[in-house]
Amino acid sequence: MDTSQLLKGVLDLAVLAVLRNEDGYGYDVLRRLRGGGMEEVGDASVYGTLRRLYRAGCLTSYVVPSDEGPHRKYYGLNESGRARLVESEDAWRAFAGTLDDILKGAAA
Amino acid sequence: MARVRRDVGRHSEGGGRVNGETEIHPGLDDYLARVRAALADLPAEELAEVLEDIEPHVTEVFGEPGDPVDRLGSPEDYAAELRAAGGYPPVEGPPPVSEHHGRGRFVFWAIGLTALAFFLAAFATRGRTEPLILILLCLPVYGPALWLVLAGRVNRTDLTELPEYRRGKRMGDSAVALLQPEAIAYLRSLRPAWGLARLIVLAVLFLVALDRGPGLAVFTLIVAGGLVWLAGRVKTNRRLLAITLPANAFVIGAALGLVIGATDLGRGGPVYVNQGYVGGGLTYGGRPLSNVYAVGADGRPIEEFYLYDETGTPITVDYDSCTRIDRSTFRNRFPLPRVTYVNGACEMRTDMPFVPLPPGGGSSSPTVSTTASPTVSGSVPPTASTPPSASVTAPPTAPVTPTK
Repeated sequence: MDTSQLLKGVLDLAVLAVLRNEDGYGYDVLRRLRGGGMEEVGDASVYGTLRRLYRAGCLTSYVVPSDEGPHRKYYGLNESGRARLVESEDAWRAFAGTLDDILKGAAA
Repeated sequence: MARVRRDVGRHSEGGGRVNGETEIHPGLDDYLARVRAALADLPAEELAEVLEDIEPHVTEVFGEPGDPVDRLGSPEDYAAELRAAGGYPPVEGPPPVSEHHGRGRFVFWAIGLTALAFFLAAFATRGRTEPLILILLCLPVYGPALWLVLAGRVNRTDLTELPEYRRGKRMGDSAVALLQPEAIAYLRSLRPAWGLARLIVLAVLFLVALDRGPGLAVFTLIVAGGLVWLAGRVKTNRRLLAITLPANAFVIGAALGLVIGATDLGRGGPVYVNQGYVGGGLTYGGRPLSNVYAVGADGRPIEEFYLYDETGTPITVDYDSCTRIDRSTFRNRFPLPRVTYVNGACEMRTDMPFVPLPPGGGSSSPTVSTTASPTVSGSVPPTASTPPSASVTAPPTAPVTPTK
């Protein structure tokens, strides 16, 4: 099925999560998401999400020159981003658990 | 959004990386330019940040196997997806609700139309009153629009929220962006001079109109008076822009009309007009001529020639001279001597006060001297004590060198 609508709601959380341990530039983030199984995430959606989280004050950014092409802008979590990640993660787990229960109840 | 990328695993870190110096991907620049255009409404700073992110990305995708447009979508799709995920305002979306939307639109177009009418009327007037009818025709819309603005029934945001206003502003902004910063600074520095320049333009128009269109002369005075009165006030009361906008359009139209009108005189043929006034009865387009010059087909000035009308009667005119006795002398030999004053001494000159272009070789150069508002001084008859005007005393700035 088309999971793009489901994806939309959790992309913020997913982007914050893949930046938890290591900063990354846009394509890094995209690769980590797809590598983690989010095959359907759109390229531009990831970049839009990064910019939105940055504007919301959750991310820091810095530019690293590259010898092999255009320089790259890295994004990383700041304190606010980490707090948001914890918050969102809790909310997601609670939500997923609830939905899981509902699905189980309906199946039973 | 649901764009599947299946080849991501195939590339190791750097596997599909682009070497920007050696590899040129067809369509890459075009793709980026179109994305940029589709996001052009974002604030400049944010747009720069976004582009800093996506340029390396798109470049990289173009360097990978497969059709990049298959994967990324069209540039417009890409921009729309980014816009949605980034929480940017949708482009050309439903205009923000404004209770005065209809009024704002009416005012916008009414004032725009009126400014255009002022511009065209001033441009076409050539000293006559009739073209002012254009302005009259606009009054039924301009009057109510002006009232809506001045009475506070329409506010600034009612106009600035209009899609047509924003589109126009965006076009204006991108036009300004094409200019060098130095050019912009220079234009800015001219702004105070504009206040004076427009009065000069109106003064010239007024003098031209005195002869031919008394109605225009009066109207010009009103515009000039209005501009002077509004000059200081419009800074604190932006509503008055509803008046200054058409008034300035009138000035610009008048300036262009005067310049082009003067240029047309030179285009008609090798008849060139000198400044000063003789009053011998020669007129051109209703304007008294002070002298006539002829240029041969090779561009050489014809130093002496005689004018006759269609019946063979000599066209005689009286002419100015250093010895006033000669004033009664009529003659049909041209060009008439020009009276000049060098160090206070009167001199008669017969050379040309300008460098003619060979006939048909263009029309811009010789008009320079004729555009020096001959009409202004032409309409002021000199008396015996009239000091020679600047352009009469000035010796020709360039020697008369016939062009081959």
